[in-house]
This record gives sequence, C-alpha cells and structure tokens, in this order.
Amino acid sequence: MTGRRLLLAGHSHSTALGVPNTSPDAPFGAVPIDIAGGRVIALPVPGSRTPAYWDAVVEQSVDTTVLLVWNGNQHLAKFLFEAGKPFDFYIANRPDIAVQPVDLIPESLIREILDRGNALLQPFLKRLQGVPGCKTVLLGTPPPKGDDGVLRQLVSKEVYFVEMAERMGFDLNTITFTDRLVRRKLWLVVQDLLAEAADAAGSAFMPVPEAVMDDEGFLKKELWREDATHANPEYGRVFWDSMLSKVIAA
Amino acid sequence: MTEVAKHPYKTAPDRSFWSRAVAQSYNSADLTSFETVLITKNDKVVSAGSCFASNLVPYLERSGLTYHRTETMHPAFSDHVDETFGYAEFSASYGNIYTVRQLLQLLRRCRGQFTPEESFWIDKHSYVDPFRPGLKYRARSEREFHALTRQHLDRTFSAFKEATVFVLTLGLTESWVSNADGAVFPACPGTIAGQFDANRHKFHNFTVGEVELDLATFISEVRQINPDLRFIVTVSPVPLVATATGGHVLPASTYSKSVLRVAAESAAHRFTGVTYFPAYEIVTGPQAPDSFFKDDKRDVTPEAVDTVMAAMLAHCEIHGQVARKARATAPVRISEVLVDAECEEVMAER
Repeated sequence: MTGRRLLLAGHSHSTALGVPNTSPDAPFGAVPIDIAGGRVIALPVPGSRTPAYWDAVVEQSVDTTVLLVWNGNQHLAKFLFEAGKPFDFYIANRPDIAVQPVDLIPESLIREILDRGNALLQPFLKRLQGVPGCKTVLLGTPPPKGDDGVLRQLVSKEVYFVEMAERMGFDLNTITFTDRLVRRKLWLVVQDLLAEAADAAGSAFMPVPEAVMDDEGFLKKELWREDATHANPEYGRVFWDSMLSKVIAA
Repeated sequence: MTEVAKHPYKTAPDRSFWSRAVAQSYNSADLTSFETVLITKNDKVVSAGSCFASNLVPYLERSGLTYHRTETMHPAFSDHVDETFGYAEFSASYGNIYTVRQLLQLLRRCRGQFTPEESFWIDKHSYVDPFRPGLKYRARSEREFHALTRQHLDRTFSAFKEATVFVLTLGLTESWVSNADGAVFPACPGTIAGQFDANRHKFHNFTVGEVELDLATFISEVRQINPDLRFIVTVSPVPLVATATGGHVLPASTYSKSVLRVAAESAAHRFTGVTYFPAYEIVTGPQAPDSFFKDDKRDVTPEAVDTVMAAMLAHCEIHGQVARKARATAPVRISEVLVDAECEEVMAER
C-alpha cells in the first residue's frame, strides 16, 4: 500500500461509508475497510460517540488525512414533521430554487438552528489542525429521502420520531411531513454549513456525489437504509467510486 | 344679604378641582371619563408606539381581552427566536414606532403608497432593514430581503385592517430622516446598524403642527381600510434618552412630550372614536410618587406600569363588567420584564 493514510471517522452517516460498529466495551482501534485496497482505515464505533471516541480519532490522525462525517440529521430531527403549518425559505446561494407562497422564514434563522448541530465541530477541527501531519476532509452527508409514503413506514419503526409525533399530539399515520422540497432545502443548508465550517478551519469539504441523487436531488431509493435518515452500504460504494480520487487529491 | 354669583365652576364635578381630585381622593382611574368603555370583551386590540406601548399587552391578555396578532413566529421556530427591540411584542413585528410620521410611513408602505429609497443597508453579507434595524434574523440576499419585508408589511396591514381598537403610544418628536425622500428611521443610522452619513441623513424635530397633521392623516388613512377602528392614544411618560437639538435633554424632553400631548388632544377632539388615555399624567403628574421612576429618573418602575394599566383596565370590559375603579393588576414581575425592554432609542447613548 502506498500513499497517504486515510482515516474515516465520525457520526452515524459514516456507517454507510464503511465504518463498522463494534461492541460497547471494545477498545478503540483503527481497522482497514474494503476501500481502495485497504488504504482507508476506520475507527469502529463502540456504541455512541463519546469524548473518548473523538480522542481516539485525534490519536490516530498523525500524518493522516481524516475523512470526517459530522452529524447530518439535524434537519430531520427538528423539521421532519410539519409544526402546524408549512414554511419555506430562500437560500442565498441557490437563487434557482423556487420558494412556495407559505410562511417565509429567514434563512439566517434556519442556519442558526441547524448550525447548533455543529457546535462542537469547529473545536474538533481545530484540534485536528494541531496534530502533526494531519489533514481533514469534511464529507457531505446523504440527501433526504423523497418518497413520503415509504418514509412514513420507516419512521414508524423509529422510537425517536414516534415520540416526537406523540409530543406534537399526532400519530404517525396522520402527521403531516414537512414538504419534501423544503426538507431538501434544509439539507442543502446543512451542507452549506459543513462547507463553511471546513473552510473556516482550513479543511476541505467534499460534497456528496451527484450519483447518489435522483433527478429531484433526493437520495436514490436503492441507496436507502431501512430507517428515516440513513443510507445503506451501496451508498458507500457509489460514494467511494465517485469520490475516492477526489478525496485523495483533496 | 349678598347673593353669591353663579359661575360655571359652581356646578362643576369634584374631578374638576385639584383640591378634591388630586390633593385628596385621587384615583388614577378617574382621569378618564367613565362614559367611555375603552375595550370590550369582543374587541381585537392592536398597539403600536414607543417601548411603553408594549407594556399593555400582557395586562390585556391576562385580563381576558384579545390582543390581535397577525405576525407571530411560525410554531416550528417559536422556541428558538430571541428577538430584541420589541419585534415580538406587538401585533406585527414592526417593533417600536417612536414618531407619528414613522407610523404613517408604515401604513403607506403596507398599502404600497410609499417605498423608501433607502430600503435596505448591506452589512457584510446581510441585508439590514433600516426601519427595523435591530432585527436579529436578517436577510442574506436582496431577493429574500424584499420577500421578508413584503410578508411583514402584509401582516401589518392585516393587523391594522382587522383590529377594532388601536392603542397608540406617542413617544418622540425627534427623529432622523432620509434626505432623499423624508423617510423616517426609528433610530439614528449607525447607532444600531447602518452608517450615519450627513449627506444622506438629517435630524428633524417634528413641530406640533406636523405631529397633529400626521396623526390626523394616519387616523383618516387607516380608517380608509378599517372605517370603524377606535383609537386609544397615550403619550409615553418616559423622557428622552438624549436630544440631538444641542440643548439640554430636560427641556427637549418637555418639548417633545408637550407636542405629543397636544397632538393627542387635538385628535381626540377632532375625531369620533378617538380617546386620549392619560398614562403620561398618571406617571409624571405631581401626585405621582417618586417610586414611579427608577433612580435614573427616566425609566419607569413596575409600580408605575401597574398603576397605569390598572387605570386603563378600569375602563375595559373584563369578565363582562367594567370595574370603574382601578384594580390590582398582574404581578409586578411581569412589568419588571417590560420596563426593562430594550429600546432602539437607548442605543443613542451607547
């Protein structure tokens, strides 16, 4: 194996890219994954991502390019269900996207809310910046799922969303989803925020490839994992096929 | 035996005499005629004006009266918004409106009759509304700015159109205006946002004639869209933070309040359905205790706000009745929050 070591780490969307889960009491240790002939290694996640996990990422990042996946579900965690009435918003750098004649929300407010999911990202990027020989590439997160009928079935299996619907006074059979086009715009904002965070920290940002999206910009159905938000390992394959050379060059 | 001469004071009621209505037996509710019911249970109240104008909202709502809101934060975001400068306090998010000209301008903007030349300022990558300069969530593109502003103006228009009672608190005569078209800013450019430019911005202290005309014009024009709208006009008892006249702030403040008081009285005489409510007198009259002002002698205390609102609510239909006497109002802690509300005007001192 030649070339620079690549370490894949981060939040749950990294699983689709090849990061294995492991038992909660397993020690942290990087393992090669089946990408680029073992050139990419990953840090398996023992349960949740504790401070010790992030410490382990830092320890493994000397002379390494860290491929970091950061959150990427905050738009759905907050806005999957419509709260009383629809809303829409403009995206400053996407003037091509139409806005519906419903309650208009300032993009700056949307960004503030979604950016809360990145509160610890900047300090972490700064930490990695201080590691000798470490470069960081922040990876884009999967686009939202656009088929509301199938999505409703998947959501009904997830405790988080079932409880969220209950708190809002609805059951999952009747609750209205936030308009799918708005959900996609929220995801675009999340991607913008990741790109800006990377730029601010002197890191690179690698958006998701077009190949994972359908004609409307939603996650291709064959790349869905059986839940509300995540992609499947096939997504990882498409991602690496499209992006590996760019990641290496980043 | 000499017959005592008859004269009008002989038959005047007790309230006409200082000795009987102020020196003794003073009741703040008596300052308004009990022939007038200010707000009934079926009324929809909107309010506008200076910081003091937002004080009444929680009192009305706690009394079962309806404060009409047409621009509230979307429920998906209501727990995230942290607006200052009163944008969340009024029927629509116009914030504090200090001069009558500014209010008239707002109405005309709502109706598409006036478009300020200085319609936005650019600050780094955000678009600042010069007429709501403290708005926290600014637009990020000109397209978004115009859409958000139109939404705001449409909702303000709805508030003015749908209300049955308009509570208007007159606050200031001093203002900063655009040289280009006379557009009035709520705060001097540069104090909260934007940049002061002596070539584009000038100071103007409205005269009594101007304020009278602006107030009469506002009432007439808003009644074009809402003919039955009643008004309760008050004058804020809060003195000026600062004057731009170059003179001492105390006489400048007296001038300002005097002009506003005269204009309010003129409107009440000129129009049916316009009532002057003496919040100013209740707080600043010689009968008022020292405790109505904080140590800075400018900010009113919760006690003062409670007293004003008790007097107002005495003339409102609450639980099917008009009390006709001042009654205890909401807990003081509410008004503590209110009197500490941020005003753009204060920024002139910073």
